[in-house]
Amino acid sequence: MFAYTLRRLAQAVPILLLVSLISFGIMQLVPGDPAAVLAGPNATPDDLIRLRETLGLDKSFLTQIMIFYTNLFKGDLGYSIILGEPVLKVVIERSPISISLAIYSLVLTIVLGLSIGVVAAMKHNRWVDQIAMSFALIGVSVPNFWLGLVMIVLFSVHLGWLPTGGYVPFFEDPAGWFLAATMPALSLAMMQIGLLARLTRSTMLEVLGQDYIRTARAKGASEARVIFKHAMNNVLIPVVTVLGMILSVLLSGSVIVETIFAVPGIGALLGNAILGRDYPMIQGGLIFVAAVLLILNIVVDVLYAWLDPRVRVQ
Amino acid sequence: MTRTDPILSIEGLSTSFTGDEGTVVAVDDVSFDVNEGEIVGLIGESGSGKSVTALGIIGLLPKDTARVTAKRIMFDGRDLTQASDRELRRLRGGSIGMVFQEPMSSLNPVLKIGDQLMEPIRIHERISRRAAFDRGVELLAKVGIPSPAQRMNDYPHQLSGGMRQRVMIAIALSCSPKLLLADEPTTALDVTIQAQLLDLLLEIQAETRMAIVLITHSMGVIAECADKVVVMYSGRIAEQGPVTEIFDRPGHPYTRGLMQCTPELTGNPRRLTTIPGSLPSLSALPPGCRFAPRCDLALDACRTGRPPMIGLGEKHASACIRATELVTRSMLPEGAEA
Amino acid sequence: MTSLELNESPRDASLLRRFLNGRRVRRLLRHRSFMIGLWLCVFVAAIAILAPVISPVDPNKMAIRSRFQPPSFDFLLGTDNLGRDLFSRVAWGARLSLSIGLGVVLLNAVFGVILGALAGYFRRLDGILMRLSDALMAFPSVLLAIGIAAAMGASAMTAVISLAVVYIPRTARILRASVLQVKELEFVNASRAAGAGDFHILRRHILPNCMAPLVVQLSFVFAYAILSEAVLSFLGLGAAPTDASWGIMISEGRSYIREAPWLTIIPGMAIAITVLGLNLLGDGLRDVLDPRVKLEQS
Repeated sequence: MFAYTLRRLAQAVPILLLVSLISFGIMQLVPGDPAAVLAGPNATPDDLIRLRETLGLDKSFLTQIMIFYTNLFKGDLGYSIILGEPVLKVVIERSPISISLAIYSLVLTIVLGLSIGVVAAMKHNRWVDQIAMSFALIGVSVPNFWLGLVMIVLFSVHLGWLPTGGYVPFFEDPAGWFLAATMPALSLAMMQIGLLARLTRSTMLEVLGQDYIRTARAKGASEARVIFKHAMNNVLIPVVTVLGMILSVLLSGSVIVETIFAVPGIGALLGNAILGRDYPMIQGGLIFVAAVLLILNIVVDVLYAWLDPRVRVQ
Repeated sequence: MTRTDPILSIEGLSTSFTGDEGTVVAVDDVSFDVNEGEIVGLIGESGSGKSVTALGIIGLLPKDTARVTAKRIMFDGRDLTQASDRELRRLRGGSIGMVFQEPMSSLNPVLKIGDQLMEPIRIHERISRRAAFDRGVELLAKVGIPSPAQRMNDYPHQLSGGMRQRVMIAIALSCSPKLLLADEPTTALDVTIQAQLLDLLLEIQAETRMAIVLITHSMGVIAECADKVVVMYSGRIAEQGPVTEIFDRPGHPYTRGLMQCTPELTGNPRRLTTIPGSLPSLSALPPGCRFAPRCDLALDACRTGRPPMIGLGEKHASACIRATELVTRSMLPEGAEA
Repeated sequence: MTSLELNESPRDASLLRRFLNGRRVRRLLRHRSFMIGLWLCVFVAAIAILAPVISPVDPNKMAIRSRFQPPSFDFLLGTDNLGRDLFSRVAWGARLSLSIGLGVVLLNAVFGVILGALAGYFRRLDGILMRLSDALMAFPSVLLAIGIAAAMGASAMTAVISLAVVYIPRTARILRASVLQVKELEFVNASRAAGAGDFHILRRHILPNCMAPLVVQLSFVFAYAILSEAVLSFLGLGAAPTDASWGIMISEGRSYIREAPWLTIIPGMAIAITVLGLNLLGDGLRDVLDPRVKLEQS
């Protein structure tokens, strides 16, 4: 297991290098003179020259790459133009907010997605199944930001149950955090709940048709025992493999959902950077988020290997 | 030997499946008895309904698609058709053990051998984990698994197919069942291992005197193990009787066909006969005798009406209207016919 | 505009016929969710095609006197803050969304097939192509599109390109997996033994047998592309702000969410209906073509 983890980490290094190269390359797509775009229409020629120098745009392409990677190895993701602070510092400052929201929606996804899927499979082809699957299908078909807005209309504007957004630190006021984070977390989670419920159901149906389930029944095991002791572990193995994808969708969604609910996390940071054409921030943010996702995927892979004795015990 | 009630007595068992294409009857009015300490061989081609019969007895068919009906299924003095799910559950793995065909997929890949072996013991008996573990080790030793205590902590993928089937047998035996339903327990294994496992089953049976319903498609296995034979064809019983009776005086053309397909029995291993044609589809069954389309003895009468069971001797009966004629003919020396 | 028409990557008339044989078509026509999805898609496509005909007014015509009209007989879906007719805007928005989605799907079909086939068939290319796709897939999907679109500047073409970049690696991977599988089948060896060249084998023997998973994947890419395009235009990275786009309409409606919630709700429902239709279509195709189990030999 340890060797496996190390191997997976080692495999991530070249991918990380490619990821940073792609992020660098994306910024080369900016048409015309990025300095002119950044400085705005009122900039003097002197301003532009200075900006080009700070961004290193006056250097040759190869020198730019060299500088980019030298900085990257030093842990320098660049300098945000709007905030006037190092990208890495701002991103790390904002991380706890996004992490708490991500954990909340991940918990919602796993709890709701798994249970809806399991119930649907147990009531296969009955009305419960039909309702659960219609719900899941709507979940994967509805844009998350629109769902967020509709929830604001319903729960904040009309019913007045929940605040329209903002962020309350968990350790200062858990109840307040819960109230403020519920709608953002739910709109972030909706699509993944649908995905997971559909996957869980089909996997569970497949597992329930397996010979070892019949063996369990032949032993006189109760239905609950068959589902939770014999089927569930086998369902979780393929389900864990999609956790990486779920996390990816979740991180993507945070840009727009955090913007809508005014949650000051990394997503909103990137959202503002996009609106303000803060290219260093966008580039650094992309690298940061991709690196986090890579590490999370390694965790998922290791978890998968640990769950499946066929992989764990050679 | 005093005459006792059979341990299992099935009367008029039928099973139908409902799917996208409509409803098909997989088992049609099947009746047979299994006495205490008896090995009954249930034989037929794949799809003849023998597994469905066994699974139907103990309620293991999928509830949403399968419908099992029977006049009576008496097991150990109780009518299983009247039993609740809970009561059936208590019998399964307790008084009725079951071994399946596929050892590679019949064990749960993510649970340890020990956990799977201790499970029925812990379900059916109030017994500590420690005691169940010890019983598990004993059982593994009994089914011939070397270093059983270590194997308890292994996962199924660490064992060979033959070893896994031994584990399945240990699981089935764990609560000292009165009846073992063995659904083609050796079919998926190598020939040498098949023989070992059959010997193991016979040895255990001799010791415990439990009754066994042995499902197989091999007349050779029947000849070696069974006391009584039930031949199934296309969901119905073609012929049943004591094994010596059936082999000496087969009363159904299908039984004769099966025997001629088994080289060990014909004494002519170089000539392998086959029965032409194949099982009729359950959704397009012929009227009358279902074997008639493949039978070279079929008469016009065979194609109308279901053939009745004709008694041929004590406990020997065949669903062929030419049964009596067949039995007399089989008295003739080989070669006089044809 | 069903996804069925999208399997035209290698142009070969017999391909389509072999892939959509009578039995499969009959099963599809009996498949409930496929048919619901098909009708939803036909409905949305009809609105998109007929937008100029069925729109009561020009989608950009402002009428200051009839601002914020709720849905009624005069204004079927109401009007927005500038008095523009929402029904006309939704109809024209369907045009834009479907064209962008279709663009992404076409790029996916072409490049996904080419890259996937190359990676699956030629071992030497496999390593480099798969590392590249690993790196592209390391970015959270929509975030990568957002980054590219932010750099290139907003336009419908930007949206198509950035979303294609996001989904092509995924499509290529699926195609690669089926190519790897089909490559090992007997008839491929037979053809090679008969002296057929690599490209002939790929085109005539391998690709036709990889169509089922591709078509299923493309129908889902279509759905994702429409969802993601809405995100891009909501963030101001998609179509020009003057265009009638569902994402932009939601973004604009957001400012008036208290007084005129329909400005937000209606375009969102248009997105949901379209994506729902495509998802149902994809589910049906997957059920019937079942790429995991069935691998028909040619």
